[in-house]
Amino acid sequence: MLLIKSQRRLGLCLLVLASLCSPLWAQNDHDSKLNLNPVSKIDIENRKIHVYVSGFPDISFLRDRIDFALFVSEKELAQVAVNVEEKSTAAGEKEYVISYTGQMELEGIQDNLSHVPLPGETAEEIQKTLAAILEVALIKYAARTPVGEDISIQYSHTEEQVAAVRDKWNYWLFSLNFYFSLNRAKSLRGNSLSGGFSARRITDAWIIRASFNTWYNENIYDIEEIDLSYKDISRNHNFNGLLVKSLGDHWSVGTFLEAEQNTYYNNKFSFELAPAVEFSIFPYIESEQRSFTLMYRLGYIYRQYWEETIYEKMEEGLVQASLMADVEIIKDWGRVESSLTGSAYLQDFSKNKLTWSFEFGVRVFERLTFDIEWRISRIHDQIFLEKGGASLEEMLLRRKQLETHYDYSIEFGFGYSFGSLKSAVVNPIFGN
Amino acid sequence: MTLFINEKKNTIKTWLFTLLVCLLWCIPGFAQGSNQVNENSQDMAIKVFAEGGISRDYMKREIRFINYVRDPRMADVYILINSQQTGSGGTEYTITYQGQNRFEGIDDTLKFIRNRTDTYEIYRRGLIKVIKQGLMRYVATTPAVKDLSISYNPPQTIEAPQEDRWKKWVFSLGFDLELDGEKFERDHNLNMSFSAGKVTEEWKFSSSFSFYYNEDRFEHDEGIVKDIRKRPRIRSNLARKMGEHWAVGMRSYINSDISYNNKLSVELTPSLEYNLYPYSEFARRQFPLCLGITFNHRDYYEETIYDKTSELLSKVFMSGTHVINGRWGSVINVVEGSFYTHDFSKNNFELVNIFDFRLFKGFSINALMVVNIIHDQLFLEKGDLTVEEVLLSRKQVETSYSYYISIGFSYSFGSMFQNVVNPRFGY
Repeated sequence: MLLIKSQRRLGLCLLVLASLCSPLWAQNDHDSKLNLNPVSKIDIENRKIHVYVSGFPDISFLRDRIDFALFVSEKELAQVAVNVEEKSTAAGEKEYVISYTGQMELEGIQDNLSHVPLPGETAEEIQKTLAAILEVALIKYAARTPVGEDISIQYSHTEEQVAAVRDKWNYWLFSLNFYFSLNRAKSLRGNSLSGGFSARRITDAWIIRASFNTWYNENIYDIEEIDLSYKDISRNHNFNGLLVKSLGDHWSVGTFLEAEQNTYYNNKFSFELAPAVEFSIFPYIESEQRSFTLMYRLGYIYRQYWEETIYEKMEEGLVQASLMADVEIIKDWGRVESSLTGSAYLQDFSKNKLTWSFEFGVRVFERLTFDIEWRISRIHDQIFLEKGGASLEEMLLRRKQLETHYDYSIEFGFGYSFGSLKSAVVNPIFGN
Repeated sequence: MTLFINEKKNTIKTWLFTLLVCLLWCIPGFAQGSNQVNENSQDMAIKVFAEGGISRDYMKREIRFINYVRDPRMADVYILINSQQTGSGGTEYTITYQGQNRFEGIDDTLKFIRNRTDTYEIYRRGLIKVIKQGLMRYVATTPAVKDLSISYNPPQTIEAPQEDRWKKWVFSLGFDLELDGEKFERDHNLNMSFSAGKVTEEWKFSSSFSFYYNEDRFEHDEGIVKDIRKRPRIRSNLARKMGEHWAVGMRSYINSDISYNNKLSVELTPSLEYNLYPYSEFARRQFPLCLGITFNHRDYYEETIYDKTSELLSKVFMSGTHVINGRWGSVINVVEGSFYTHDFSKNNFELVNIFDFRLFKGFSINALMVVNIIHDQLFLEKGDLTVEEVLLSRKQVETSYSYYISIGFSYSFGSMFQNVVNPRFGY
């Protein structure tokens, strides 16, 4: 009965999640801008960057190729004057120097580029390369004028080509860090120390990462008048390992390896080895725009406790299974992120946890933004809780996990602005 | 005793065993065949280090014709993105390109504006477009130029230049509600604000009202602890720029805050600012010095240790703020001193120093130092605080000093390339 009920709830959650994500497949929002005028041919030509070229044999070749520029016949009318000059180098090779001179609002912006053709190149090939260089370097100037907005740059390449840069370290990277702090006032003394080491190798085919981190913090409160003398100590040492093998655009397999000691979860020592498999609905390459992944993780966990638990254990070995669904979509109208995680101990299925998090930020229209975010958990797996519970001090300082069967965090906000929203004046006096 | 030793031995054994498993587990990693490949155009691509303003993973996905390196010293082009707020609450990004090695001396600066209401996607797409365009000059003479195609899409419509009927005024309303909780503990808070402002090249005016409400509740065997804080604030600023280095301003501030035993405080502060660097270089470096006097009337919740329930005070203050960043790292220095005019011995001095230096390839050292010499806690209430008030930092505790110092370093070595984004397993 209970199982059916929780299944229904899960089903409902999924339905809500799916329906909230539906804008994801919808088209981008329409241009809601006001005061837009259709453009005439003359406007378009005027918007182009005005260029005067000298020294290049065939201007019409450039004119056909570079369509974001308007080639003018008088130097005074140009925003950029470009001169191509043929020289010979000390070694007797031909060298071409392309020089750019900014004029009018681009006054003062100078540039020089040189190109040495390969031996045996035909005049036609040289002209083509020079035109390509001239065009690409001209973008520096175009970027400073309105036409910059109309130019986009594509690069033809393969993923393998980009990833395959030669590297004498074979993509291994090692880092170490150390941090120390102290905090003093009349009635408080605090010290904190942390350090870590990590090794990683990230390629398209594999992720290998291993890190060790340690953290110690103490605060000593001492106020005689009110009889307060309290020492607050927290500690966390952990090892985190991750090994992942890519299997095509949608699948990957891997293992997590974790060992930890901390004071918050009554954890004297824990060790977990968890193989996992992940399926991505969208190809991984699109991850910066949209991602939707499902992961199944099965882990063996061994734990030792500082204090005897509410189940009278000082140590135990457990098997935990978990299933995770993660969605993230970034679009012009805003972004959506959501994840649903369920986990249970296989020895006792009633020791389980379900967490749903959701984040949604949208620009409803030009002036109104709306954000909502929540994380809710149903918790039935706090098997690590110590018998004695937390002291009042530990509670107020949030130093120990407390017994609970739920946990929520909800954030809701909106912003409405009006007025000259496009004013780009920057006046830094008296800070921001 | 034996029991203790046994336990200790067991712990050591467990840790050793764990270490062994961890090492064994790493083997597949090291066993990875070296992926040495034939030379290709990527080896010839320019090396870039970019920082600030944009997500690195996004940049790596969108700009593929360069190599990403992990330290500015390894780069052919170092890109620094600084930002400043615009008058309408948007952001102006200043993108500085600094050529190194074969591009020594070839520098460039471009700007990009994010409007206040632009979403994340619109902003990052616009910014990356400008970053990419600025890189073209450097790529032009490399083999990658052959694989680049430039496309031109003339606009269908153009926004007509129009008169600004709002005369540069911007208004905004904000509302945020945050609720956190579990069985024995909850933390709820609410923040509302309204603001109006106008910024021109010369003048700057802003006024805002905000109300913050926070409620923490703890349920323990020893009883229920409840901590409620309300913070209403009205703040207004009016300032005028006088040339490239000077500015004058007037600030008013009305607020209430239980942490400072402050039932109602009304402040009026005329001040003068001198910036050592010209204001036009503010995005890159700033060093404003400020001198002012604050007239303040206060009503207290509880009688103070000086037997006051309300008082009228005036305080003279001076401050200096130095902020600069670049390829070598960043520094922020703040010095501030003040004294009350009725009694010079009631004074306060604060020093804040934050730095992050990249000393050599892969090595950086950072520190944060905050020192306060405090002789002006005029607001301290008579009678003792409770333990709960101290632990929850609900009220200021009497002290004549406080300092916080932290220092850290990080060192990386190994591969200099950071081209790959592999999002698997949430990495």
